[in-house]
Amino acid sequence: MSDAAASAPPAARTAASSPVAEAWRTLRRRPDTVIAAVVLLFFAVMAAFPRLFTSTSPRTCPIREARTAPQGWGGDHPLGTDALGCDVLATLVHGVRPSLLLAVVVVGISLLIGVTLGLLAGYYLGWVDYLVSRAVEVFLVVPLLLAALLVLSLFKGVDLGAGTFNVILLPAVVLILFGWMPYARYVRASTLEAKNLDYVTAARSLGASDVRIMTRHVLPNAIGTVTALLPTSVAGVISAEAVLSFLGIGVRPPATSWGIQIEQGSQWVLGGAPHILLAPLACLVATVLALVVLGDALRDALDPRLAA
Amino acid sequence: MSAPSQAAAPQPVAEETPLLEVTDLAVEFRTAEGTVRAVDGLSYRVEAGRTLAIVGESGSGKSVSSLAVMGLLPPTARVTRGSARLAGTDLLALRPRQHRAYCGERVAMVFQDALAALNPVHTVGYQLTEALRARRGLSRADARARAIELLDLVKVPNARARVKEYPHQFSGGMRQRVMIASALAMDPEVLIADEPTTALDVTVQAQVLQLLAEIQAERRMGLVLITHDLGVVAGVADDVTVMYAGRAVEQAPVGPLYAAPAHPYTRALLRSIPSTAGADRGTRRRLPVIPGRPPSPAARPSGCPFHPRCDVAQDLCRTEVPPLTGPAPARLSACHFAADVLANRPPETGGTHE
Repeated sequence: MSDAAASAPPAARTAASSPVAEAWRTLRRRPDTVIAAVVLLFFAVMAAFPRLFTSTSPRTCPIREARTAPQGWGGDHPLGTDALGCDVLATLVHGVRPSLLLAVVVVGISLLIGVTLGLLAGYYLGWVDYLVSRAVEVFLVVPLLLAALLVLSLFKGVDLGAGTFNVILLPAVVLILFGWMPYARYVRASTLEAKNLDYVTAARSLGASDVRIMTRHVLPNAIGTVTALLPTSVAGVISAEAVLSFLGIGVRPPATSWGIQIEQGSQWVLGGAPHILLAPLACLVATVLALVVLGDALRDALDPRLAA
Repeated sequence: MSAPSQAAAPQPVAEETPLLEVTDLAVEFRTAEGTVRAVDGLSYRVEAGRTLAIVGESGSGKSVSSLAVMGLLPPTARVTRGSARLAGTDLLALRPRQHRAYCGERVAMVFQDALAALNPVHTVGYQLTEALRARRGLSRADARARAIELLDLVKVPNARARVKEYPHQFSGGMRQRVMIASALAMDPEVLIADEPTTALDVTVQAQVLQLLAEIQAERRMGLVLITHDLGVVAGVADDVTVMYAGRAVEQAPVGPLYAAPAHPYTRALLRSIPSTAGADRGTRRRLPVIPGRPPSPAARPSGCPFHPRCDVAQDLCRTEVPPLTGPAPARLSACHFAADVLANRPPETGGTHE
């Protein structure tokens, strides 16, 4: 989202009627899109520079201050403290990074795998397509949560260290393993459609190699539907991470994430401290909603059939 | 448009070695109903600086034969016989990778629908020079200069600004010019134009054809012009191959062919070109048409494939496939009664034809 805002300065060039420029112009006309982009930008900055938002460490947890109610701006604990006395705002701010990083890593790698396999399957058909399509089906019929529970429980005892990447490694692997199929299916379908078009034949008549045809001619025309899918997928991964953490098999304490916070907060909703749950929940909902809105707008902008 | 050396070339089969020589080409399609022969024993030759027009109805195999030469046949199709020699090398015997090296470099193709044949997500400049950059390693700046040069060559106005534009910003005629320019990018010796003007309106058609003819004359390229429009052929072609049901039925230089067709099908085609000449004389005549429909490739008639629609068909035609023979010098016709048709007299039934 932030890179969409950075690219294509709006009517700076008269010849800016490339598909990208068109999409950008459509996006700009919708206020909900702009708001969604701002929300996402906010959280992205938060992930990159948590110190901007809080000077409190999420690891200083004086137990006697446990479950302090929110004090508003100016107080020691603007959003109060959780069951262990940790500052909710600090935890929240420091929990963005693993959540977003996980989402970006998972979606990025699944996209890479899915697009490659889908492209190969759609272009070559035959046994390549057979293998890819069967693999897609096998992975699709396994319920994600069941598989994630199984795999993550198996590796529960393995210690991978405490870096940001190490913390998200296991959930990332599982979510990628069960997340690449939609991309493969979409790309395969659009490849089938695009590869028989005249301009692909024309490229071949000029002697273009298979790889060139796939990457330069088929893919740019087949990627549209998938691009629109991305924000929604990021939202999906963020919520999936929350669910896994809630179940105690995602990102593990002492590392923080929104999922962990929600899990801990849920025990105190009726115990007089609903803010422990509500703060991370609100952030999660805001992020996911913003991504869905953006995905919707992106789909409208990129899909010529809906634009008409 | 001036058709160079059209009258001064009585011999289409000159002694010169041809640039592209297709011999006895046969292409089959596998379909649910069995194999279908789309092209059956087609031969033709194209010399440098000459234009060969291949004329025929849809399904006569004219496009399939050129796709075979370019190695662009769909996976269901197969070349079963024949050769296509480009300056001595049989393209059809090459491995796909070697064949690809010839495509674009030495033989290139212009497609019918330029909008569909240009990639909507790349600029025109990029598409014109993609092959050059990939094959010859042109730098970005050189490629841009070359793209402008190519657009100038095909007379696209304001080429410098237009290289940065996308295909949808071009009009139909301009798109077809871009298509031609991209085929010319690597200076091919033979250009195959598959109905290059069908998607255009009549005035633009004339301009595009004129452009093709000019470029061809300038570069001494061999040009294969595939069309279903005999009117288009008259202005630009040197030689004509008329195809029917996957076979060549008549091959001749364009002048003699128009003056005196040697095959009933060619004759019927020429008669069915609308003319304004009769209208002012008040003698309104219904435009003659060829009765019936072109035969399905899956169910070709026995004997001469044209006999059910032929106005001079005899018993012989229903059983015997006529060979492609020469009723006169430089003429080839696949009709049992070619000499009679050429002389425009009724066929001698039971005559002593070979």
